[in-house]
Amino acid sequence: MSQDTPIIDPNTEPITDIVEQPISTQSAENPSTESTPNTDEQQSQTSASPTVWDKIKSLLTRFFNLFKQGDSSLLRYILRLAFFAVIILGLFWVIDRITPKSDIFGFLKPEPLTIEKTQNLVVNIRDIAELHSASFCGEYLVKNSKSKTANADKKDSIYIIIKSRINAGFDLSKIQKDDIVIDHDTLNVTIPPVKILDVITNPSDIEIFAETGSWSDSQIQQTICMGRKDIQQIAINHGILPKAQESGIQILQNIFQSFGYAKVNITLAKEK
Amino acid sequence: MKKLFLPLLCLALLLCTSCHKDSLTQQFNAKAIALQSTGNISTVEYTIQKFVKVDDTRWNAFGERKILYSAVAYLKAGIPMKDFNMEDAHIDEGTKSITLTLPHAKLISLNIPPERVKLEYKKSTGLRTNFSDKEKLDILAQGEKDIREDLDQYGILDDAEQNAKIMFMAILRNIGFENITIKFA
Repeated sequence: MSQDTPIIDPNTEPITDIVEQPISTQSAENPSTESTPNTDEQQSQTSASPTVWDKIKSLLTRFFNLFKQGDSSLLRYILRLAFFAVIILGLFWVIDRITPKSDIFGFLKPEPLTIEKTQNLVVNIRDIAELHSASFCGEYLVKNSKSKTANADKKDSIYIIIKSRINAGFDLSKIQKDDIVIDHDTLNVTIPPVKILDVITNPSDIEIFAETGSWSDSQIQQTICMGRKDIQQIAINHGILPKAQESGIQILQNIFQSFGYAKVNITLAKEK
Repeated sequence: MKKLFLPLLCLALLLCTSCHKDSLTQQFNAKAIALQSTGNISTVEYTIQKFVKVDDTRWNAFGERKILYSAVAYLKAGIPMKDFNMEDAHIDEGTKSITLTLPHAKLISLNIPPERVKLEYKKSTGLRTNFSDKEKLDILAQGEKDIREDLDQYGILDDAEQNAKIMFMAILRNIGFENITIKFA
């Protein structure tokens, strides 16, 4: 046994009157105030851990303080990077605008729509005999407008450019046996009157130039039909029917003269 | 000078990319008109029914887009007679025979009337936008092109030549010819 080892003297009385004294500096400085334990801090320490929203708030505060309090080297670096990025993008944009064939930003464009291959079904076959002797090709701008439901003063408009081809000529299937008369070396043929045979406006001939508001498919179709009627009238005003008549008669005369007749008289039947 | 560099650069960019647009009235007044004589005899008309469909489903887009149209097209084929002349017909008055050489048949017109185009189905889901009017017209134009490209498969040109033969034979018989030969070249 070493000399440092404390020895409990059995003769000493046990300590039974130990009084706990609170340790408080405040009580020494301000003897009037009661030195009570800080229960709020203890409660907050023992409360639940900070919420997700508190974490996001603290992250955002640190981020903004980065610029506010002046981590200036990082801020300068970011600003320099942004500046050069804007300059480079601007240069690419200028090149794209100046050179028409360049397609630098082509990767941003959506892929073009392509239709699926489907069958083209022949549903009807009709025997005809039409002489197309004149053709009118025209491009026409048709405009339609409708009032907005909420505000009658303001109107929605649509502008459609329509390219149309109008064919005029004769329906030779109406020529009867009695309409062809041979008088020695003269051939007399009576043909029906000239008329408009086709008004052709296909989807590839239609371009919606501008529109405001919302237009349904039926409204657009109605507008296109209006345009077709207008362009048919324009063709008639430009003299497609007299042109078709003159040209058709000339062609038929050539054909019948090639059959050996020196003189061919072509007359028009009266309209029934 | 360094202070002016950035503003000058921006100004240069703007000047390089400024575009000149014609006035709206100038664009609206553009009309092209051409009236010309033709000389085609159409002898057959085919009615074609076609379904035009697009399924625009992409791996990098949330949602899908589908559209389906039904369209009816009228095809007319016949013989171009504008350059037909007397050299194309050989006549023997003694035997009342004639040999006629006609040009080969060709497609005279393809007509898809707007009133015969019908929207059958349309659907846009998720974050996809509806089909715009321009896209719809482009889809129908592709359908029109598809009908044109399959022309050889219909047999319309053979029917046109056959019908032309029948028509000319009937006319020539009425005129008085008995032996009629019609060829295509």
